[in-house]
Amino acid sequence: MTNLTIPPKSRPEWAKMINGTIVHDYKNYVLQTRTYQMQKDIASGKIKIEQAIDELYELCSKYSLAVQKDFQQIFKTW
Amino acid sequence: MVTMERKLYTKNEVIKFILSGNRMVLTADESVLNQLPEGNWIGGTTPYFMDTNKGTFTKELIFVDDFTEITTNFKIETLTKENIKTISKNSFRNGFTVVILPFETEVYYEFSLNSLTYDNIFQNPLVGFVAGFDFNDLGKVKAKVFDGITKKQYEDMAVVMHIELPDNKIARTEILNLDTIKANSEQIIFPKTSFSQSQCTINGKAANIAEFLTSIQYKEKAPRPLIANTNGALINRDIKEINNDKKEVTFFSPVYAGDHYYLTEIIDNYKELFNERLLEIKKNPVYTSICVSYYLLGNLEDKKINIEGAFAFGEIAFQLLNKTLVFLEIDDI
Repeated sequence: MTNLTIPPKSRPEWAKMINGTIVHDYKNYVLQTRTYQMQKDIASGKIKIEQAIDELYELCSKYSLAVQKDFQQIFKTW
Repeated sequence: MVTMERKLYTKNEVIKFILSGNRMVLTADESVLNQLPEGNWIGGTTPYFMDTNKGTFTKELIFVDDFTEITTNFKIETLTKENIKTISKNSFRNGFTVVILPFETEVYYEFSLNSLTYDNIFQNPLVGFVAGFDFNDLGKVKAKVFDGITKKQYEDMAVVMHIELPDNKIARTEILNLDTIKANSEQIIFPKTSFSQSQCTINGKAANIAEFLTSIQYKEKAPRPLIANTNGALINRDIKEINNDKKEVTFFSPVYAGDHYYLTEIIDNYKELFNERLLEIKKNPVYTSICVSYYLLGNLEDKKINIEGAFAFGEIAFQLLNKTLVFLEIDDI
């Protein structure tokens, strides 16, 4: 099986996933938990959105296979 | 992928595995874990299991999760309440981590309250369980965890096994929760993150959670958790006690400030529901942790659900969970 790609970091959906603008019931547990915690951390001012995008992008790059179903629904194409 | 079947084994069989250098998580009663030799294993106590043929209570057999065939390297460490926050520091670049916490200890509370804020906690899947004991021995014995390398046992520390995977494999943890949000449930929000709660808002109005749950006979109708939907993950917080004198409810895992909690529907067919929902799991997991509440509420002794594992006093998937099945799968990449 080959490595699957994820959408580029420049896509606006990344920020919307993190600030909760995109309301989505994720299928993958790590995405569910990580995005939920990030939404809390952003709201409390613990991290900034740019840092959160970097961290989420890095995580999803590693778990590119596991996040495909969710990303097809959120990003549609890339 | 895993050559050794995940099931209960005799003490003598497990001793052979240990002497062969196998890398394992072992779950059993304290008396039998104490008899094992030094080796590449960690352990935790519970006498409740789902074996290959049926739910089993045993203080003699040992449940084996063997990672020998899938791992390229491993590390074992013990952590205290002071340094459990560094749990991901020694994890491998690619792999997963299994942690065992002793029930209701300081390290258990620290992890449960703060794990999602630990540095690099999401770097690799973090799974595991809370060690327990025979409910008939409640108050007489304590949960134990074991470090097989040193053959030391602990009542107040966490034991951790970091597993490294080859570059063509990646670990993924998922959860399965049988509970569902009750139709038209009130929405409950708490002001603090804690194992015990009093004041809250219910549908936006100030209320006391103990008074509310008592008024609707929530626990009397059927022991049920509160539940939150966190971006698609249904997270249970099991109720330990409703104390009407103190007007306080205690939970088996922390309820988080600001999260939206709901009541759950009553489940009256655990075995059938489990087997129906387990069809969602397409592969054979390499590790599972199953809540002991299922064993008790579903009367699963001598009954078979279509998955194997030890029944835990709390399941871990990055955070402490209640009344949940945690499972770990390995994907080819």
